[in-house]
Amino acid sequence: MFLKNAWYCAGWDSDLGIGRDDLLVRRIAGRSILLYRKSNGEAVAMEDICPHRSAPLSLGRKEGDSIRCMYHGMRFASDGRCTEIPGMQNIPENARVTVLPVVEKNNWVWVWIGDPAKADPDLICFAIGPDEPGWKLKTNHIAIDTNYRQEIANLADLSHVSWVHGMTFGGTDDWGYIKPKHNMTPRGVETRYCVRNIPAPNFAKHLFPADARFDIQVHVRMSVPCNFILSFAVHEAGDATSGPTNGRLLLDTFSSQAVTPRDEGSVDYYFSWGTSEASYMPGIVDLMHAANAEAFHEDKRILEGQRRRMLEYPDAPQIDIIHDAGPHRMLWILDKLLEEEAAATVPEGLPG
Amino acid sequence: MTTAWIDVRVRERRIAAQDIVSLVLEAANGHPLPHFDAGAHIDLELPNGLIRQYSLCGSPSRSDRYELGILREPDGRGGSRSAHEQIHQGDIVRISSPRNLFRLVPARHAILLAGGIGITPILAMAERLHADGASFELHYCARSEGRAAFLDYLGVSPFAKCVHRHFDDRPDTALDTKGLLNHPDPQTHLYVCGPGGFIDHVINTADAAGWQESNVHFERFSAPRSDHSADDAFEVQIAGSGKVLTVRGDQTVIAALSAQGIEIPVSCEQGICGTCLMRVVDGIPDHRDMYLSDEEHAANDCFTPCCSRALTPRLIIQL
Repeated sequence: MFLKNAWYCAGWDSDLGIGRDDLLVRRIAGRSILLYRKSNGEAVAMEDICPHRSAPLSLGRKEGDSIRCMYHGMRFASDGRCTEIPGMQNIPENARVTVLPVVEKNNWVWVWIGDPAKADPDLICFAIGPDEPGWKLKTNHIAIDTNYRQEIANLADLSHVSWVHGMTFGGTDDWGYIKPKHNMTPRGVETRYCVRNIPAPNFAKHLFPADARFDIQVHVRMSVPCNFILSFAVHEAGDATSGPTNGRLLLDTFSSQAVTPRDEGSVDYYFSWGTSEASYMPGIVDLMHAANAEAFHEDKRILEGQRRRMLEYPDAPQIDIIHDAGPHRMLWILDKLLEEEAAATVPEGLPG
Repeated sequence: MTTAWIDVRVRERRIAAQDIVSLVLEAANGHPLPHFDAGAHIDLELPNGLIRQYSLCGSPSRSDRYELGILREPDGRGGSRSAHEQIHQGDIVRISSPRNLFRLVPARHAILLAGGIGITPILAMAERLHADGASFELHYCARSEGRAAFLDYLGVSPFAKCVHRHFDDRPDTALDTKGLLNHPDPQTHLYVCGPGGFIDHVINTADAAGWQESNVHFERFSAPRSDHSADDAFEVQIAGSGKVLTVRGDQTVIAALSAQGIEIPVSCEQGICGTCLMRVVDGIPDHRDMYLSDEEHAANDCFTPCCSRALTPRLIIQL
């Protein structure tokens, strides 16, 4: 089940070129979406299916701002209207491709798959993009075969850092003993906490004396469908035992992550990580970039294994533990919005 | 989210004693059943539509089967009669996941006291303590040998020498409760289950002997355990709004809020996951969760409205 009235990340703006062959297809929430740029650079998103005989428009060709289907030559303008059917003078009214609202923000391309009248750009989640002044961020992408609800559960509970990411972000059990308060927001949860007096993460251990200890100040903003915006500030270990750390700030890092369900069993995951310019040092962002890629393959391994078992044991009971408040709160919001949408939806009629 | 029911098949049904039937259940789909700890109970949906709670009396280390012991209560509301007369071997019935309000705590020694059908959770506790190599003694009181279920098993069980039998119709076997409880020790915990009068007698004796309340654990069979019909009503005021609502005895705080159109995120409904955690501005909660630590319970500044209640007539909560 996917939320319709939501912005879905379709990737980094750099994924979408303006070249002759730059016809990008993304599977988003069970739909195949064609993305391309018009001659003025503006992004277009439309359903990747010809209304005539369902050929993918992405197998067609760009003609100015239009797309020509290369099956029977029908040409569609960027607003979805058919403007030419070779050999036919009068164009049928219903020869039209569904066009989706598309917005570029923070170097991400966002697509709205619901009611276009409700496509409010203010609903796009807060993020810091790689072009944001004051930041040094590198971007990446991974595909994972899992349902996006399991991604939500993964991201809304960082206790798994101790266990899944032992070789990368982890190196201490302390993440497993955090009991954060998750505050509800209209479309997600917001969580702040400090992990105190922990050793350097394994990927950066060699940079510090063995007995160096740190406080990690975490601020997570999650929003539907599965956006995870993380401020991750590394401080010298302070002596505060509650509230924010009072240790000196060493490395101010930021990560913007958007998980887009392709369908029930797979997701595209677009993410960045890096430091503020003030705490940047040569080499650090590349090191973080490599560690992040490795860590998300650790997630991929466990999530895809979990997915296999869930398919094998569809009725397996799922017990709750103390770390499930974040996942449940985030999924509760998602389910509430899904229910509201289902209640408001009249039975589907003709498309468009 | 409501209780997820599990379909189970009745693998065995046998008469365990006069008026007591024992059922062995296995998952209808052949998968393992959820793990449980000694003292846990399940809801059983009876053929006549009633839902009743029964303790799991089998070994907690087995996930392929659950075992129940059900006493026929002629004066009841028909639950036990339905269980006795309408459930047959091979039938499919529905149960809830196990819940536990009667847990073992680590201690140097445990005294288990069962009265009649109260043997069911006590038996699981004995299994667990034996498996853990822990020191314990089990005292089983019944009206007569013929009314005591699981006697055969207790006789051949690997912990047979820890079991003491006491029958009302054989005064020479009578339990000397006072003598048994005469030496309270912070490292000894007492677990009691059975009819109300039996529990009251044991608790009062322990109290008089100077037992600490935290070392005495009991579960009453007379009142249903997982609903709140035995609980008192109380009021909840929503901070900032002045809005006051009543939480009925048979209702959770979540349900009372929901009835007023106030939806709170909730998941496990057993105080495990903390999803529903809520700030308490005033009043003292009756904490029934496992999410908060003892320290957090003592602070009384938050509670889990899915299962916890109030010790004061009114709680003021922050939404």
